[in-house]
Amino acid sequence: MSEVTSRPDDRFTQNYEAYGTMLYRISLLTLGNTADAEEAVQETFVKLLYQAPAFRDPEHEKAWLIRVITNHCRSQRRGIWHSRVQRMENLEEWLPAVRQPDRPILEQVMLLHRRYRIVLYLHYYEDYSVKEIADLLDIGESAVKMRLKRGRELLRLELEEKEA
Amino acid sequence: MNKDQFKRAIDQVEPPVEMKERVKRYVENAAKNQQRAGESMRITKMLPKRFGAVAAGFLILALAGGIYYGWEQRNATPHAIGPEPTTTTGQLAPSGTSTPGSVHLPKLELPKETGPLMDMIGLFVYKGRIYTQTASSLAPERAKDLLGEKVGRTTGGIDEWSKQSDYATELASTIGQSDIYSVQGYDESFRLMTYDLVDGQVYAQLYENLNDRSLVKGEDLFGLLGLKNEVTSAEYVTFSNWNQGENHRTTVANRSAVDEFVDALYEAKPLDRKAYLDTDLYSEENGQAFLHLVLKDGTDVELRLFQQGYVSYGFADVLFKVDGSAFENLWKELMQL
Repeated sequence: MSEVTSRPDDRFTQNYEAYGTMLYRISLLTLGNTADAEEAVQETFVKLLYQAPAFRDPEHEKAWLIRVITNHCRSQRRGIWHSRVQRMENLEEWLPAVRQPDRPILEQVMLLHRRYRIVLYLHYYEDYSVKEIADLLDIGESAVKMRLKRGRELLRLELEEKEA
Repeated sequence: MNKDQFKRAIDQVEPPVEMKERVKRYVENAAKNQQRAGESMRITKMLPKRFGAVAAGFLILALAGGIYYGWEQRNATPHAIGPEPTTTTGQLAPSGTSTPGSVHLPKLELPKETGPLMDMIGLFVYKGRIYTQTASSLAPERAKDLLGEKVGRTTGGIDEWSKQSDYATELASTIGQSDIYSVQGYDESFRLMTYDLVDGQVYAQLYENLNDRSLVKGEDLFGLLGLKNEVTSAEYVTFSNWNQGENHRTTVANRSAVDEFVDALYEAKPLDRKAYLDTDLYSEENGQAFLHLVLKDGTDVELRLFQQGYVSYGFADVLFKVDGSAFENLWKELMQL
């Protein structure tokens, strides 16, 4: 993966099919709007194709991608628009594609603070453990637990607490 | 809501079909640029009509002074690092409370409209002041030592749909319920901390009020952080390393360079950061680095350094231009690590 090549087409297609949707979801959950989410995905694929280390296995590659895109989103939020000027997007811009009865649920999720959204997503959707999330996001395990707890409270989630 | 419902809702979030082609073109363009420019990866953004889309599809609202400056000022910003922008009172301080030559960090304002989604930073209200997330942190094992008096418990209640009046509610927050304490050694009007025990583990986070302040020189901000004569160690993280999530820290051995830099920080000239956001300053990844100053009390202060001699701190909309020799000496030191 780390080799630089002028013809990344094949690798791109393969990687996009494997990770494109996941990366888009993470960036959308973090940044809250589709334009920034797409830009984050673009930057992450450039890094994957030209700057990535040699991966031990697919899990290693996936974890690396999550780290890269969450850091990109973090950088983006500290940058031009997100530090004090907040970008807002009407949910109608992308929610019409979401069918009932899932739409109100997604609306609730998107109304959470992004810190809760991303931790809930990684834990309950991608099935990462608390420790793995702590490593991925470079935060403490107690912070992950706290965010899961608060996220669940805010969503009134009846989720099992398999956090260890 | 249960886990299956949560997963099913997330399943509904799919990227637009045409995104694949756009990302592919972007990646191909990057390959061409890479061939052309060797290591340089400066590439033209392929996102179509990004700012047009912003104008059409988004509402850009301000938590802070953004509403005062508007699009006109942003659009007028040159796309290069130009002469330092004017920092006169009239342009930078709509409330007119700053003095000439200073930068005024405006009072936080909530957008007048509610309804659209707004992603928010962590914050809470105390004594009418708004304390926000910060670039300083405290190791849990040191947090207890600095724990001051409990000043209250946040109630949650602020979200993307809140009205301005909600921000006037004491201890309302975006962070749910949490105990708030003063921090020993720091001005309560500047810094407070959340402190919670979860499963026997301490979870502490610092919050700072840097709003509605006029900064005449670096000391007005860095003095609040208490940097001078308090730094016990300094560590450096490359932008690339930070950006890839590794955050590998390298100790800066040359303490005199660090101390000189800190002294110069106190005398640094504040500039309105917004005027620099569209310049090369932020796009030159090789020209940025992160410096962590670890203080005697265990506080870890993260500063963002720009090769041209600028320094920023957290979310504060201010850049500091640091004395040339002090900055250059430290930058050279970092580049050798």
